[in-house]
This record gives sequence, structure tokens and C-alpha cells, in this order.
Amino acid sequence: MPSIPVTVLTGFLGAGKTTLLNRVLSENHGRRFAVIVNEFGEIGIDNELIVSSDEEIHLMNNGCVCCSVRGDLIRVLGGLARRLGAFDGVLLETTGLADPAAIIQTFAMDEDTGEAFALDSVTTVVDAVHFPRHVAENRQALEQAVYADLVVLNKTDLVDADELAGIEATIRRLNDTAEIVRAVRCDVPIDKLLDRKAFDIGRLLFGHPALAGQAHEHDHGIASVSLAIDAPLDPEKLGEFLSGLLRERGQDIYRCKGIMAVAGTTQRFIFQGVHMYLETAWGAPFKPDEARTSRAVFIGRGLDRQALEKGLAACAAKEGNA
Amino acid sequence: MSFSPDPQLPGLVTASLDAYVSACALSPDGGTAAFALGDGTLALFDVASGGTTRAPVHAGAALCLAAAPQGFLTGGDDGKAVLTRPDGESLELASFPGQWIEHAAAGRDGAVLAVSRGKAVVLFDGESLTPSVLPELPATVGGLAMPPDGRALAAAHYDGVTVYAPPRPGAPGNAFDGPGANLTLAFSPDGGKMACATQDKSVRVYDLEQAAGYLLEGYPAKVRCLSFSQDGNTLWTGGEQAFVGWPVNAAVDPAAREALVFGAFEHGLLGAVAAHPALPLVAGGFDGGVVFLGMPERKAAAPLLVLENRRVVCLAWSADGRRLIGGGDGGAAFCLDVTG
Repeated sequence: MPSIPVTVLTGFLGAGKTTLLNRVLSENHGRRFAVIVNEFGEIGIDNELIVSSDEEIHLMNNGCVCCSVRGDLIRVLGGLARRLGAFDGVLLETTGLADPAAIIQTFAMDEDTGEAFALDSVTTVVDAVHFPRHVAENRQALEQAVYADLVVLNKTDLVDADELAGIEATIRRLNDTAEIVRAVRCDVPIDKLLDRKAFDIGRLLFGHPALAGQAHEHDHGIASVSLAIDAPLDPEKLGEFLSGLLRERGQDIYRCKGIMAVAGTTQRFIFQGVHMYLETAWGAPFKPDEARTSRAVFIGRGLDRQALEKGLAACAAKEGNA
Repeated sequence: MSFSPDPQLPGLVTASLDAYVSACALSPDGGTAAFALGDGTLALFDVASGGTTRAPVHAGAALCLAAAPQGFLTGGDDGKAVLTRPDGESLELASFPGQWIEHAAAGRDGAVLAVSRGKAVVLFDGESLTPSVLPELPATVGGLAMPPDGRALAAAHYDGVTVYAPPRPGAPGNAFDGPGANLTLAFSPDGGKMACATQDKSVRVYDLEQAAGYLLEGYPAKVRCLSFSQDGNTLWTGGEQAFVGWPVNAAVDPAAREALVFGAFEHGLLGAVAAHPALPLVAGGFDGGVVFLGMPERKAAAPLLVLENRRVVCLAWSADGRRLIGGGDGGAAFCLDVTG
């Protein structure tokens, strides 16, 4: 049975999440959606199957303070799965302050949820008028942008070009692979929103490290560290380094991802993680004439670039093993 | 959509119900097998006549089921609690629009029936069927259970299990510690012990006399099902690609407890388990659809039948142990007379 795609719509209060939701629902796409909202807001939602669910963060008992799942999502998605063939996709509208990490981890850590459903996209709606203030006042506004694979920069008709460029630069500084789409009243083409498969480890994206990096005073210490290394790595050392790093610093590392060249195989070693949760896979082999460069990105709070660089360099395979 | 005899195995009737089988139960007299379905209906199989009735009981999906002498109690994502007689006639007991009724429980005598509605437990008096909502618990109810004698009711929730003994309107409940997210619950047949599966791939067992709980761990997956043996000395659990039985009698030192593991099945996890009500036997439904009969004394399991499903969701024995029923996520269901 193919898993049912789930699209997460996040963003601050008033950014336009419900507007975007209604836009998807009203479009003539021939799909039937189940909609999950935190509460029925002022704007009505025109859909047959709609469930309200109170956000319930459940900590996992594995000694890890950042390993949390959304208990309410496990319940609601588990219940919806019983309506066989009643819908083709799920749209989940979060609260303004929701932490997307717990949602992403729910799909990764609860096997029942991960088996029946697939996280297709975390789409963050950003209010162009209020984003600078939201960012200055709340870390969550930045965090929501960090976890997004699609950012809908909304209300672009109400601010000037320089301000828009500044907002985009802030987002790119922390998340250089998110697609940013400018919108007025969330007029985003629907094919941009659906079938993104953004959390499929086989479709991991890398952006332009030159755009990322530099910390900024309003970033609450959140930064993106992009690393490249040319020597092939020892897969065992790399595994130990990553698990050790996430065990100790996982709380502050929002996301990590990498496509690595390892000794002894031409296949790419791929990893992606959210806090302490790490997923790995083997990817397509490097072509014979291709440079075997490893690339990794860590996004988090108070990251030590030099320590990450050193740690990764120490994973280099011994000469002759490559 | 109706049950029909299997050409190969005598005593077996099967049906394709075309809807997710959320739960199954037999009436206390063993005469009717009920299957609560994802399309909101309740499929009723009359064991004597072989006839199937399909009662429309919920507008959305039926999520839970409990059998009582008064009939079958179901809850749905339409916010309704409904009581349906074996002939298919149903009565709405309560309606909570916008909420889901996810769990139901009843004792053998049906003196009290119970469902959960978000963070609250709702009791129904066995005679008047009047609902009374108990004070809200700290978090949404993840599981509900009653021992056969109906003298207690347990509700699992985040960070604990609340036990109402006896369950009656206004009961404050007794909180048992249990850090983390608590889900499926089961009582031992004598009501002396209680087990609760957690989100963290573990099971916590409580002795109600001592109010103490201990943790059983080491599972590769979340435990979706629990069942105590008739003597109450073994707890059968899912969460493994085999039958897992823990010795839970007081004589065994908790630190030295070792599970009896047998009947390894490499193609799927045990997702539904039901201990036989009289004999030392246990039925288990594995992911993939195979139902095995485990014989702990021989540490062996024999395949009974295969359901056309990805998962076996539920299994239940009749009170006399003569019939085993079950259903899965793809809509396949069965009723097996083990005496042939």
C-alpha cells in the first residue's frame, strides 16, 4: 500500500496558513484531502474531512530531552488511516508557535505513522510585513524557516523590494535549500506545494554554501555551517563521529545532512538528521571522472564551526584504503 | 461482504468486509461475533445461523469496540458512543461533536460501560445507560481497560495510568506512575495485575495490590498488543517477530525475569495477541496476515490461517474458548471454531 503524503503548513499567527490551506482545497485538482487543524479559527475551512487536534508533545524515554514526538498526530493519523481510500493526502495546519522538529520526528520515530504516511513537505508561510519583528522577538520564527523545504513569502505587495530581499537573505543564511516563493494572499501554484517528497533521503538537496554561514545579530545564535572535504572518509569513524556529535549536541543541532565519499566503495553515503534522530542511506555511486567531494551541512544554535571541521577531518580514511 | 465457509479448513468462516477492521469482540454468550469497521459500520456474524448483518453505527470510522450483555459498545470519530444489539438495532448513548471516541471498555456483567473522549472518561450506568463524564485527566487517554469482573477501570495517559476502582460517577481515580506516553492497556483475568504498552517500545506491569510498576524492555518495535494468560502468570505481548511471554507472577524476582520467546516469524511483527481463556494456548496475528496458535508448553507455534491483509489488527476468543475471531487493516476477517 503506498503511503499517504502529508503536507505540513506552518508559520506565525496571521501569516496566512489558513488562506493557503483554503487555496489548496478550493483548487480543482481532483484530490481529496483530510485536514488536521489545531483549532477551528476565524476563517472557515471548506472541506468534508476535518479534524481538530490539540498539540501534545510527548518526550521519548530514551534519555534524550530533544527526542519528542507529537502524540496527537500519532493518534489522529492512526485514526484517519482506518478510512481506507477516503482521502489521497493530508494537510496539517500547525499552531503559530509549533516546533516542526517534533512533527518531523514523529514520522521518523513512530513506525506506525511512518509506515502509513510520508512527510511530503514542511511549508512555512512567512509574513513579509511582520517577519523582521517576529524574528527579533521569537526564535520560533527562524526555526520554522530552518525546517522548511518551501517558504511562501506572503504579503509581498505590502513591503518594498529591499525589505523582501533582506527577508530572503535571512532565510537563505539559515536554510539555503528551501525554495522561496513570493506570494500575495498565498497565491502559490498548487503544483509547488504538493508531491515535493522533500524528506525522502534519496532526494537530499544542497544549496550554495557561499550564501550560508555568516552569523547575524538577530539570528538568536542560529547558524548554518557548510563543510566540504576532499579526502575519502572512513565510514566507521564517520558513523561514530555523527552519533557522538548528535548525542552530545543534538539538542542544539536542528538539522544536519550530508552526502559523503567513503573509502572502499564508490557509493555515496547519505545522512540526514533532526536533533538526535539520524537517518542514513547509500546513494548513487560517484561516476569515475567525478570529484569525490563530501559535503555536509549542520544548522543549529551556537555551533562551533572549527570543532565540526576538525571532527569531520579526523574521519578521513587512512591512505591506501581509498 | 458476508461470511462464508472456507473450502479448506473445517470450522473456518471468512469475509472480506471492505473496510479497516478497528476491533473485534464476541458477545458474552458467544453467539455473535462483532467487527467495528473503518467505514462506520458494525459487522455482526451470527454464529448459529451463519448470517451477517451490517449495522450503520457511525458517520465516520468506528474506532473501538467492547462487548457487554446489553450489546456491543462502539465509539467513532463522529464523537458518538453507540450500543448495538446482536440483531443490529442500535441506540446512541452519547454524542460529543468534534471529538473522537477512541477507546471502549466493559466488564463481563455490564454493570458499567466506559468510553474515552479526549482527556475524559465517560461512564454509562449498566441499567439506565445514563452517561457521566469523569473529571478530565492530565492528557488524552491512550488506552482503556476493565478486568472481567468490572470492578476497576484503567485509563492510560501521558505520564501515568489512572485507575478507578470501583468505576463510578465522580470517582477521583488513583494515579499510577508511568513516565512517557502510555497506550494499550490490559488487565489480568483476576484483575490483580495491569499491563500498559508505551510509545517507547516497552511495557510496564503493575500489581494493583502493591501499586508498584516495573518495566519490560528490549523490543525492536512499539508494542501494539497485550494479553494475560488465564492464570495471570504470563503476559503475552507483541512488538517482536515472535511470541513473547513474560513471567509476571509474584514469585519471580523482577530483576531476573526472562521472557519466553518462541514461534519466530521472520516476515513480520506480532501485532495482535489473545491468550486462550481456559487452555495454555495463545493466538497471535503477525504483520503480513498470518495467524498462529502458540503452544507455550512446547515452545512452538502452528499457522492457523492467512488473512489477505498487511496487518492483523485484532484477535479475540469467545468466553468458552471455542471460537477465535480476528480482522485486519485490509478488511479481511474470520471466525474459527477450533473444535472443527
